[in-house]
Amino acid sequence: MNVTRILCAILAIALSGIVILAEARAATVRGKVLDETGEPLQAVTVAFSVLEIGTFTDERGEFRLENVPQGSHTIEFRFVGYRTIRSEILVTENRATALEVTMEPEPLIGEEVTVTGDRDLAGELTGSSQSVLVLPPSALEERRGQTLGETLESLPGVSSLTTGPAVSKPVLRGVHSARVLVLNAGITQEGQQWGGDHAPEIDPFSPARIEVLKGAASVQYGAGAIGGVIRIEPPELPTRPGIGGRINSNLFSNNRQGAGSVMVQGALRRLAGLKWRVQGSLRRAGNARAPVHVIRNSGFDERDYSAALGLTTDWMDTEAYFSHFGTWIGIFKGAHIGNTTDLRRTIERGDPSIVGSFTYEIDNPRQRVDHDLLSLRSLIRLGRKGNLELRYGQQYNRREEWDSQARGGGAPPKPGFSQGLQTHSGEMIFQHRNIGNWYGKFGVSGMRQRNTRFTTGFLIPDFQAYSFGVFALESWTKGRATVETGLRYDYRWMEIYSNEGRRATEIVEGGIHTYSNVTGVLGLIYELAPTLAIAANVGRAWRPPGVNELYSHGVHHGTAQFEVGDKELGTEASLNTDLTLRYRGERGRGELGVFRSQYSNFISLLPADDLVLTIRGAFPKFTYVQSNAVIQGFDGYLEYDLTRYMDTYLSASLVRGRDTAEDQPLYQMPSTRLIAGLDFHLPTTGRLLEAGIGFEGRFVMQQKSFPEGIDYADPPAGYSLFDVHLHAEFAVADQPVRMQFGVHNLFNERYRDYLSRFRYFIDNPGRNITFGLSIPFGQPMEE
Amino acid sequence: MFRHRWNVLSILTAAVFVSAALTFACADDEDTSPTGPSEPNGQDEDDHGPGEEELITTLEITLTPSGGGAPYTVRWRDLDGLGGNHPVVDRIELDAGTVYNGTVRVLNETESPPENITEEVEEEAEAHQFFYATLGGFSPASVTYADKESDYVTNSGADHPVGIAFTLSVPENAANGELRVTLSHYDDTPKDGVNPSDETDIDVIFQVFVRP
Repeated sequence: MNVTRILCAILAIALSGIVILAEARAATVRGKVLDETGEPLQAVTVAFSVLEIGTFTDERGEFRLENVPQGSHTIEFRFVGYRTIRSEILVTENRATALEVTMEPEPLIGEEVTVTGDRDLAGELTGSSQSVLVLPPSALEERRGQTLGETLESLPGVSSLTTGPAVSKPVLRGVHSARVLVLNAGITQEGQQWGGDHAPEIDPFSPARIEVLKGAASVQYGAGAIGGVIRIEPPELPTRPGIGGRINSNLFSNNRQGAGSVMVQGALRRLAGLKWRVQGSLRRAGNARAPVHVIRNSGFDERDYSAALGLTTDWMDTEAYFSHFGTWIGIFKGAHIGNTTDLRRTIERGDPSIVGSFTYEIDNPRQRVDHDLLSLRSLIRLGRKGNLELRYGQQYNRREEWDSQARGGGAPPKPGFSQGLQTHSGEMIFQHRNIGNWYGKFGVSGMRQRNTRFTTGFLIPDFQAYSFGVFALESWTKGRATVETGLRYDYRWMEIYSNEGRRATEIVEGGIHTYSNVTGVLGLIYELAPTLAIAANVGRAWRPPGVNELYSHGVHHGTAQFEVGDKELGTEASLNTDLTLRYRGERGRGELGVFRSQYSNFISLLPADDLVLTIRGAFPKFTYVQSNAVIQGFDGYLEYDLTRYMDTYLSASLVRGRDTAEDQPLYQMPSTRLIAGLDFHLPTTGRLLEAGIGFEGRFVMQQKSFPEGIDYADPPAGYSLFDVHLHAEFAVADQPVRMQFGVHNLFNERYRDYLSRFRYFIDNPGRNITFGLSIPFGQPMEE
Repeated sequence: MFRHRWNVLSILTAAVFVSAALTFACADDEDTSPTGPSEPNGQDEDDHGPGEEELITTLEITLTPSGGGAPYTVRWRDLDGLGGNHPVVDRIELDAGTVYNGTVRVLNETESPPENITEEVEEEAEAHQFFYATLGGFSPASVTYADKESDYVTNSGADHPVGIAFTLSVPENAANGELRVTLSHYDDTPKDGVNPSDETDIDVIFQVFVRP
């Protein structure tokens, strides 16, 4: 184990620079750990993380820690499947400290223990063999009112694909859309997610917690999770009787956006265990401003609401959650060009042809998106055997899009494209309690989906699809090591309906497609020290081709490409390897991940070296083709508390993608970026509970690695953005009222991001001054 | 072990969930039945409203020699819309040393009878303009506008040409080449009568054969 030790020492020094000064006088702490039935628990991690002292319980559940310095320290007990216990103890020399600890089994609803992406363990040292980032409530609070893409953008390895200020999609390690799965309240979000300008339909005020799992997680989540998973969880329902709530209000100067949300929740006194919540939010913005131009028609008008009802009894937890998302989004008009000549003219000019003045009015082109989600989740406790989790989800997504070319006024115009997607999904998972050193779960899942085009233009055909999956995931823990493994089988059946007899530019013949695949994962987590762990993961993942990749046929307005699908496409598969080094110390936290995804039959849109002659002119033809590709890179972050009043953080992401068959870089890979920040915490007094000021710099390099001959313009230059933010929390009538103020893009820098779909036409938005207020009332929140 | 304790409360809650689920399911099922081959949506053909993007299939040019003679019509036609079959494009045959009076028509021939989109262009004359470019050996030929916005609509402001009516002069030195016809749409960019917009509705090229 010499190598490990050396490695451990180097990493510990490199990451933290902490020098431990062993105290002269030390004591021994011993004890015993039992489970809820009084049986001893073996292999429980017992650690003083700050002191970097740790051990494991033996067969009798006993442990012994020597040379513990005197004083008050936080001791931690961690074991997979059980709630982590943290408690402050006083260690003195004269008295041998003996502890007896009973650990409670973990799962309450929404707190399932999963091998990857576990709710409670995700941020923990040995929680996952993959890189999982958690956006906690405080970080979420700072970004309230912004889109999901913007909210996650600051995380290492995450960037966003934007279509103007209102539409932004998260990109995880270079992939997005059909390769990233969004899980909302435990249900896989099913919209028209294949579209680059179709953002996830999530109310930014609804999540209490967002988790980003980078890399494939197909075994747990099925075919869509080839590139990663974003888990969004609404807040847990209150357990204390009484009624409470929160009012949020956010203002943004750039697009004069106002956003607000009201949430009221409670637990019944009479009917113990019954709890509820209702929430509604509004977001309205006008045209955003780039430093030089107003981005015409870039406003949005969003209204969302949700309600939840939960019941806890001694043998089960059930929660019903319903949410509605509805928005109007204006699409920058200058980006809807007529043909390639128009596009070239715009790029050569460098300035948009269409500028405007500020208005809240939304004109064509625009989108109207509605999404209803119903999630029913139950967790049935089966005592020592384990837990049974049942989930049912129903969603209805309706998307309508209006083109800019719509002629005539007066009568309400009909959309150029509109469709409805209905999805039912169900899942049944059995989590077994530890059997020896094994802990895990198995489950089955199924889905039915129907896509219907309304009486408008053709984009993708109507279809009906069924899918079915069965999986098992197990983990084995012994001492400092945890091994995870899992296997899944998926089957998808899809019937495409012919569009014959309906108005269409291309006749699609109906037909049936079936896809099936087996995926597997093997992971290892090794605790090098109580504050340092290394995790490795190798897994296979897959996805069936999307209906757009099979059947697209038409001009893409923003890029003047004639896109053609290929119904013969097969499934895309990948072999993913990643290595993560995780550090959780008292003063610092950090993670460094290296990854490589090797894709076979990688589906991408490439020029077909052909022109499609239309009455609007000749368009270059792009077809969906399959090739082999490798996407690799690294990302990581380090947060460190320099003093009691000052923290610093640094995060970096680098992604490279290569089409290995064509031997050229992949299109639209995110640029390398670095984020550095410094936060000052002000001393708190009296009514001032918390206050701070922070500075952040974001440095984005130019993407130098891109395929030749695909794009109309080279990737834009790199840029640096600077932000300042202040926040303060006051006690007002015994409630913590939070105020925040920020300036984004402080110097009003002109820039265009490579992943902005409007980069041919107009700059990204300029300076944005934000103000936020959060007022809780009634029964305090349980956080 | 699994303890069955179905108290009134859990039954009540379960009932609420189930009824919520059912209401939701039924409400949605009604308007989302997929349009399979058995139930084609009959509304499709004639139900697109005024705001929907028009399908343009045909551009038709009629040329009449100014000194007298029979009118001569050529068409650029793509009846199945974008993609699919290639468009059928007539060749323009002209006489050198002749001046032609031209008119242009834009049609959607997927409708029956064909929809005359020129009427819409006329109604929105202030937001449209045809451009004509003579290319290659045909470049000595020239096109001048023979109409104004005020011919079609009550004009408010600069009375720019529209180009539905034009004059084509083919001098003696004109040879075989091409004629490019574009229709610019000015929805937001101001129309100045000279510059095309970035919203091209039509962009077609005809081969031109000039008889000496």
